[in-house]
Amino acid sequence: MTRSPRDEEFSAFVQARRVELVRSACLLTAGDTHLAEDLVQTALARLYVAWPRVRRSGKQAIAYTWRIVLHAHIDEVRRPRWKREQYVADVPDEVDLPRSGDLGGFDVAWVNGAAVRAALAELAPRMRAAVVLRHWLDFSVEETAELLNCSEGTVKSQTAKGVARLRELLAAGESEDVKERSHQ
Amino acid sequence: MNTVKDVLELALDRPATAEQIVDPARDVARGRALLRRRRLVASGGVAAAAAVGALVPVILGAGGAPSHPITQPSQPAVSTTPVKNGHSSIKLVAFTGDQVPGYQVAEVPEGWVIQGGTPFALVIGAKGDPDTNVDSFTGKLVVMLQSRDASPPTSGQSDPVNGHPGFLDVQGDTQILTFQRADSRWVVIQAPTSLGWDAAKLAQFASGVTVLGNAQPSRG
Repeated sequence: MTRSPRDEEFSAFVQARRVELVRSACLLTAGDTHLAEDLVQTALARLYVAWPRVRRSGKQAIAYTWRIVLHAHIDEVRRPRWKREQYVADVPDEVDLPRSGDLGGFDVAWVNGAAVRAALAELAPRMRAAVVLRHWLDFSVEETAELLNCSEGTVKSQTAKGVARLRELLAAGESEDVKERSHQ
Repeated sequence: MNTVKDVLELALDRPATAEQIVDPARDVARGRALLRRRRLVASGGVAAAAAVGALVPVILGAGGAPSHPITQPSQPAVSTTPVKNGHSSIKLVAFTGDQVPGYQVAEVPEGWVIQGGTPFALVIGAKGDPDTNVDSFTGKLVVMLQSRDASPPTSGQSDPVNGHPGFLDVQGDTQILTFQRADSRWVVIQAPTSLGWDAAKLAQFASGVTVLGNAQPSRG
């Protein structure tokens, strides 16, 4: 099949960005890799349709893609649906994986991926999105506000509250682990 | 060092690897399919109008080209009400079946069923219509958001829909009612004249339409 300039440019964008898009979408979905893949597939299909408009700069294309991912995700979590079970080939061996205590503002002695995913899942979707956009994707407050279609003040408060809540949840999880260990 | 980023990275099972190879073929294929569907939906109104007067109606295939002839849907045996223009008007009855994503309707023509729906269009056809292709709009009642590339109508003001002005255009045997919702989005109702509906009946049907959050306008 012949490849158009749109195909060529879009393919290059996908090759350069897809892995990171799925990884970041996994944070939005609090670790639901299937949903993250669905969101990215949806976003990329719509990006392909809109490519002539958004191809002018890589930055514009990535912002457009994130806008679709975010809106699709917020729509998804608003919709009542059956809970998707996650099957894994192997049990992850990260349980009780100790991390050094220096996590900056996170005053916890150790933490693992499952605990972080569980804590992320406790955040409201828009709050989680604000944290991911600001702290993982490094979007500015202004860019985040535009992507989430809210004010810059809302972005600042949602991000601050989200980080504070994460810290609280991880610290609480750590306390539970300490208690469990002391009983063993 | 961004310490929040460190914590977030823990949530990801696999570290990012620069050498991970991505084959974009499937994303390209999905994008092409979506583009094709949008073009097909966007051309639906035109296709319906173009079929007027044609000896053999056609439906559009996936590539947008005429694929195979269909027969006109047989009219169901339902009660009708005579109207002034000599056509019989098919009654509206409360819809009680399963709704589909994108759009919901409170009423449907008696003897008609929802054939299917996508975020781009809800398609209602006569029960027993052999043409059940939801991308084929000929002879069917269709609800969709106005195309992103179309301008709101300025002429043909008709009966209001939920207090908002409606605009009616008749192209051959297809009536097209366009109205604005309270959220400022424009909705298009495409109805075959074989329903025998006047502007008031079309507005009655339109007033029961709910546009859901995942509905999307087509392009073109």
